[in-house]
Amino acid sequence: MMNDKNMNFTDIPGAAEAASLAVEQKRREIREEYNRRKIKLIKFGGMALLTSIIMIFATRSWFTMSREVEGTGANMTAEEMPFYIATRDGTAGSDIRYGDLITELTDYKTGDYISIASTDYHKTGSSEKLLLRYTTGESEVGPGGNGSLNLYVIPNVDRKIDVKVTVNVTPYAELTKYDEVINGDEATYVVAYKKDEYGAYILDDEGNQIVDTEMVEIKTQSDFAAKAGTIHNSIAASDAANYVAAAEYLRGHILFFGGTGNMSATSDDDKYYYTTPYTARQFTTTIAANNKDNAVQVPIYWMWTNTLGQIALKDNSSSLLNGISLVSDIVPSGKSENEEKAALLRYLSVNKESVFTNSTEDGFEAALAVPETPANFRLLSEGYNSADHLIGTRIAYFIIDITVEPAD
Amino acid sequence: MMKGGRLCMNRIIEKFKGLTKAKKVQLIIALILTAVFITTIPVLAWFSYQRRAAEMYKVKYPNSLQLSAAHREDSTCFEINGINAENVMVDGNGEKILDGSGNEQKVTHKDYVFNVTGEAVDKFIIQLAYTTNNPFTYKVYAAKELTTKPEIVAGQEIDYVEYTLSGEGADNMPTLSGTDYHMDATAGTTLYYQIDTTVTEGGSTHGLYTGRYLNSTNGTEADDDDTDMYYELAYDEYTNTHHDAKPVYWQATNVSAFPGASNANKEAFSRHFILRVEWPAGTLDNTAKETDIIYISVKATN
Repeated sequence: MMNDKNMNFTDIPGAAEAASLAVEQKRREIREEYNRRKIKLIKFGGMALLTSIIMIFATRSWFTMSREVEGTGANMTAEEMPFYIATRDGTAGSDIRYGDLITELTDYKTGDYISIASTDYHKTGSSEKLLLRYTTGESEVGPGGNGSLNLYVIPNVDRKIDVKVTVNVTPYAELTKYDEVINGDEATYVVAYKKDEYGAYILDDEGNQIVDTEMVEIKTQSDFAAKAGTIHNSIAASDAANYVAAAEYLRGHILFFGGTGNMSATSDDDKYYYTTPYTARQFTTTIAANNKDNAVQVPIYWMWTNTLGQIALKDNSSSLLNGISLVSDIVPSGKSENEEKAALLRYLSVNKESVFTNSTEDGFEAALAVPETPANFRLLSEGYNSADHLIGTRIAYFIIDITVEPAD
Repeated sequence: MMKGGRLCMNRIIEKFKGLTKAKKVQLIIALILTAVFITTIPVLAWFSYQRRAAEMYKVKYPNSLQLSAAHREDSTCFEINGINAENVMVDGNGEKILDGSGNEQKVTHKDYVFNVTGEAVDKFIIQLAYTTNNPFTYKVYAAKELTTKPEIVAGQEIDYVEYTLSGEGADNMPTLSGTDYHMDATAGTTLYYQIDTTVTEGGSTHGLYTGRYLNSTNGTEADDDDTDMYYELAYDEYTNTHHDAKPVYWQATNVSAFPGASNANKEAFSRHFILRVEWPAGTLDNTAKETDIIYISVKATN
């Protein structure tokens, strides 16, 4: 019938049947097409999902740098941290000070011993946190105290590594503990003395009892007052504002530097302590290539400046400087100012609430703009010195901690 | 290309609309969770991507002010011994000073020297706290240190205090430099202290610190218990205190480390003061011995 070229359109039932067949066929074709496309979509969707899962896992393992992960079957490898950090041993052997005094430092370990080029070091290994060793210097610091942070990087790759270093100062107060003594409905508070686990008093070398104290990290006023309250030290609790202010001033007064200056000049006016101030407390440095398994020093110096003149005076033309300037005051040819001095002055201006006690007084900003005038210098110095006095009377210990990470 | 993309989008939207409500909810939750998962992993991983090191330091407590005997000698060398009421006024040569009628006069005052040394302090308060058994009044003067004996004026009492160095220096003194401090004086040398009338600071006139009494009108006795605002601080609820045992407080504020200048550079300083114990003529009687205690304190205020 279909083959008949001379199809007769008068044959309607036949034509209808043919048409419906054609529609059926068309429908079938569309459905098949639809099914084919559906299968395609499912295949595509499945592949996309599988690819995204693989990508997530691959990038995740790169982020966590876990050394234990090494899958051969799944074809995932984790890249290691490209360096260790280490501290160099001093000549005296076990050179860690005060490490057992503060619970926050218990995560920090002495590290694994390693000898590089006949020098002893201790490096991070099983622990990621390292206690630095002190090499020289006083164990008690006051204004004028300074030192070098004994930090080295030991690369374990040959390429050059960029590292980002962040430094931080955390102050602690040592508060006397008091015992509560209840007499009827009255409570009095007496100083507590150290006892051993059997309840007997611990005596010092001269046979005297030792006052029991608690190390308190100074964070916010309410936190400090609460901690002082738990040891019944109401004097410290009511003084919380001053403790918090002292903590802020300590953070503001300690400055960090990247290199030593010139301390051997004949005239004091030509000497200066350091170069490269890190006023942002963060810097990036490059460990040169081909230093695998060598100990490369990351020079970081810190200073609690004694007098304001050492930071704020451009030079000693005003004769107001007492002590040696922190950074050089020589203006290089072609420039209008010494950039390091300018950076320190900017630091003072931006952080004045953390450096001076009188930064909110009238005329302070104007004085800070021109510190060389005797009247201005006196105002600024008063604020700086009373901040130092507050630090000395409230802060007992502080920790400088350094975070080292690859810079990307 | 675009058409294909748009077609795909439409297909997806159609598919989404075609799902049941439950399925829609599940799909949306799954998508959100995936997004959250992807963003938190890099943040958490960042924490373990560092190494940390720390070192701990102890802060020195500021030893700002020290009180000592003359020339920074140990405070055990500062002695106020007995005051002899029978002592007669003599001049520097040992000759008696007679009054207008040719009679001997009894001494009416005695001077002692003490020293305030410090570092990084600009202004401080000197406080006296003393009992009032004897009819003494106390005055504080600024003093200067001399290595040679001042001139003696015939017919006048000596206006200097002699002090022989014992050689026992006080502990923990800051390092001083400068010729004014006579750092090279050795044990056995005699030093002389005179009132420095050029000092006019801290409320002083010609070296005398006027100061103020905190709980007394004339300095010879403390106020009554109910008007003395420091009574309760010292004695709390107790009411049977002997009148002369109650301390009188006197303070001179704004005494400078360097008179006439500030101490902007936190330098060390050393200043001498003369404590003059005075009494009205004829009021002391050796047979009616009395004892008083006096406390001298200094406190930095800057």
